[in-house]
Parts: sequence; structure tokens; C-alpha cells
Amino acid sequence: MPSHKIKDFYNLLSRDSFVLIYLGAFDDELTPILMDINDAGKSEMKSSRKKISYLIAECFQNIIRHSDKTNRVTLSEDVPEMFILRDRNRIHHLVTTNIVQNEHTVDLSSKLDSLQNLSASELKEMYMQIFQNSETSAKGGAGLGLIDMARKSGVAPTYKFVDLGNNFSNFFMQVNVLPKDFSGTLTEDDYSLDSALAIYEQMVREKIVIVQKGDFSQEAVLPLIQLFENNLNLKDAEIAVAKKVLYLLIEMLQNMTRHSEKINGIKEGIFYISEHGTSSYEISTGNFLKADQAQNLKEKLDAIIDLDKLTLAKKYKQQLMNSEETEGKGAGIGLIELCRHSSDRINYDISPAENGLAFFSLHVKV
Amino acid sequence: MEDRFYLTPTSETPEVVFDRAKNEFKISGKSMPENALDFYAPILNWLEHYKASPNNQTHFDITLDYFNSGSVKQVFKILCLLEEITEQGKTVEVFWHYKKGDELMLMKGLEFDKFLDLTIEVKER
Repeated sequence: MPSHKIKDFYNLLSRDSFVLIYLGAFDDELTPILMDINDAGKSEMKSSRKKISYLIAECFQNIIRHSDKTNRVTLSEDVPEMFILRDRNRIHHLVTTNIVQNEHTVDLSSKLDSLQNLSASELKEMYMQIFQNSETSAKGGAGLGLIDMARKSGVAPTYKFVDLGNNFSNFFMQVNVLPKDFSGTLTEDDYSLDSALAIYEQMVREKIVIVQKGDFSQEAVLPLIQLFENNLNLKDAEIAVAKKVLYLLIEMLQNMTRHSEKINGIKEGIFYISEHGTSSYEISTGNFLKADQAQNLKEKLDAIIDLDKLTLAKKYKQQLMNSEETEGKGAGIGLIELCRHSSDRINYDISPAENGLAFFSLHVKV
Repeated sequence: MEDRFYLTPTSETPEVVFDRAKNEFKISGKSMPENALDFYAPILNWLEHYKASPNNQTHFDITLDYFNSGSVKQVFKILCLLEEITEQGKTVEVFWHYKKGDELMLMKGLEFDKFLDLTIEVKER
């Protein structure tokens, strides 16, 4: 993927202080990993994190329970499911997608519509009423789940159906989580699904499976590695590719942890991983460096980027044997390893950013 | 020097067991600490002391699922220490365990074997 694209993606999410996007298959193993990501490296209040964790679990159960996998073969194209967790101006958004048969859309819409414009007490009343009547839908209590989501988040979820043909639709639902002390009114932009739809389109088009924008501290890096391990495509991929991808992924994420300049108190950056055919992945990272640091890195990279594998192997050996721990001069072992194990020439780009910083992006293929 | 050295595994660091009496020396799990130098310092320190009066035969197992490049360098330093033990005429057997199909880990083991005058036996698991 050309280097400018990561910048475009970064700009698309410019108002978000944190974004995690996952595209692929959903299973129960995913829930705890996403909760870890939600917990890691965020300054949010504990009560709000707990609430969001609860909503993540609820959203996931909904997807797993309601996904219509029975007749999917009739769809001409692969329609992956997506999950987004984002924090925009202190409002958290949880977006999920799943495929539903068109015959269910009317019922689902009316359920969701019935929650619109209800106050907290009205939602509570509705919840208690259904709870006492222990009314359950055919798929087991969707009613209660939805109402509870609206109660916990403070406002009804927004939704949209995108027609897929053959009597199926892609159901987008966005849970908008208001901060506890929220007193303003939501703008169209706050609850609109337009941004989520645009992200979905871009993810599918570029075959991106995971995106994270936000803090890249070590605590934030570990669950990302787990998340990728859990990605179904990787599970199926040959182990040789999987291990290599993870080695380079760890390297690139930790490079961000180590070298990123802090912006607004966090090591702000973006990372994504995309699929290129079977068993082939591209890892891309973007982060901010001081201009002189970026220049220094450029020199190191230029010195090794076009070396053949044999020369790189020699350099690797030299670095191993070198007892000096300060890797100030020349490319460190990490950069050599990236070049050595990338299946194509690695790609990088440095572009000027505000406040004397540079935006550094790196792309490695396996 | 303590006869036994033990580190419990974490989500980013391996389990380390060095037991002189049992002749058990093991590093296993994931190794991707943010600062590999700091993490491996006490491990290398213990082995440095062990080198002064090693067992006649040392059985050393390394089983790593993932590591970062910083750890690669520290693991190499461990192997260098073991190589120095063999130079005293003692025997050191190193077993490098890799998961079936994990070409990268196999390659690391074979490279270490090539770089050092220490026999590293790669073993598929």
C-alpha cells in the first residue's frame, strides 16, 4: 500500500483520541482481548471503562447470537464482520456489523426505534416491564439486551441496514456511550453512522484486518498481538508465516513504543495490518518523531534497505557479536531484522508535521 | 550464589528455571519485554556466577514461542556464556526447541549453532 494511505487513514480518524477496528470473524475468545485493549493505556475513569467493557461484551454476544450464517453462501462477495471502538470528544462509540435476513429488518428496526428519544427513567421502566414479564424473543432476549445497552450508554443506539442483495442486509449498529457528566446535546455528527460506513468500505477495499490509533505504550501493544493471534485468517495460515508476521509485528509496535514522541501525553500513532492474498500480510505503522530523529532514522534505513539477504545476514551477525549495548551507530538489530524478513523491499516515508515533528510511516510485507 | 534461580512467566517474559542440583536449566515461553537488557541482566548475572564453578554436564533447554529482536541478542549472550563453560572442558548440551513449522525459530537455532563453537541441537516439538 502506498505510504500516503496511512496518512489518509490517520486523517480520517483525526478527531479520535483512540480507535480500534477489527475486521474478521467473531468468536467468544475475542471478547476478553478487546476488553484488555479497552483497559490498556487509557486515562478514562474506571467506572466508564467498566461500563464500556460491559457494552463490548453485550455487543459481541449480540453478534455471535444473531449472526445469520445459514444462508450466507448465497452472497456473491465475502462480507466480513466489523467491530469499532472509538473515543471522539469523550463520547465512546461501539460499532458492530452483522448480516441479517431482510425479513428480520422490520422487527429489528421497530425495536430500536421504540428506544429513540426515551429518557433514562423511561428506559428503566421499559426494562423492568419486560424483565418481569420475562418475555423473550425467538433468539433469546434481544429486547432486554438492547434496552440495557441504551440504558448503560445513556442514549439509544443508532443503526443502518445496507442491502447486500439476495434478501440479506448488513446491519450496522452504533452504541453511543455518553460520559457520566454529559450535559450537552448530541450533534448529528455524534451519532451518525456515516464515518463507520466509510471506515468499513475502506477496510474491506484495502483488506485491512486490524487498525489501532491512539497510545502505543507497552500495555497497549500486548493485547494487539493477542488480537492478531486470534484472527481467524492467521489461525488458518501456515505457521511459518504466522510466526514471522508476529515477530515483525512485535518489532514494529515496540519501535513505536520506544521512539514515538508524545502528543497530548500519549505516544500517539496508528498501526494497521492488511491481507494480501493467502498467507501474505502487510504491517503498516505511522507515528511522530522529532525532525532530527527522523533524519537519523532515514540515514540508518537508507544504509540497509537495498542490501541483499546475504549481506543483511552478515550485518545481523555483526550486531549479535557486537557487545556494545548502545545501538547508536548504524542500524540496530531490529531494523536489520525487518529488512531481512520482509518478503519485499520495506517502504518508508517521512513527512513534515506540526511543531517541528515528522510523521514517519513504515510498511513491511510478509 | 543461590543454587536455584527462578522467574515466573508473564504475558511478555518467559519462565526461567536454573537448578544446579537437578541439572535443570530452562527458558520457555514468550520473550518480548520492552527492555530486554534489563530483563536479562539478572539471568546473565546468575549464569556468570555459575560459570565460575559449573556442573560437569549442563543440560540447557530453550523453548520460545515468540521473541523480540532485543531478546534475540540477550539469548545470544547466554549462549556465549555457555560456550565459555565448554572452553573449561565441561560439557554443555543446548536444546533449541521449536514448534513444528516455525521456520523462523528453527532458523534462529541453526544460526546460533553456526555462530558459536557450542553444539545447539534443534528439536521439533
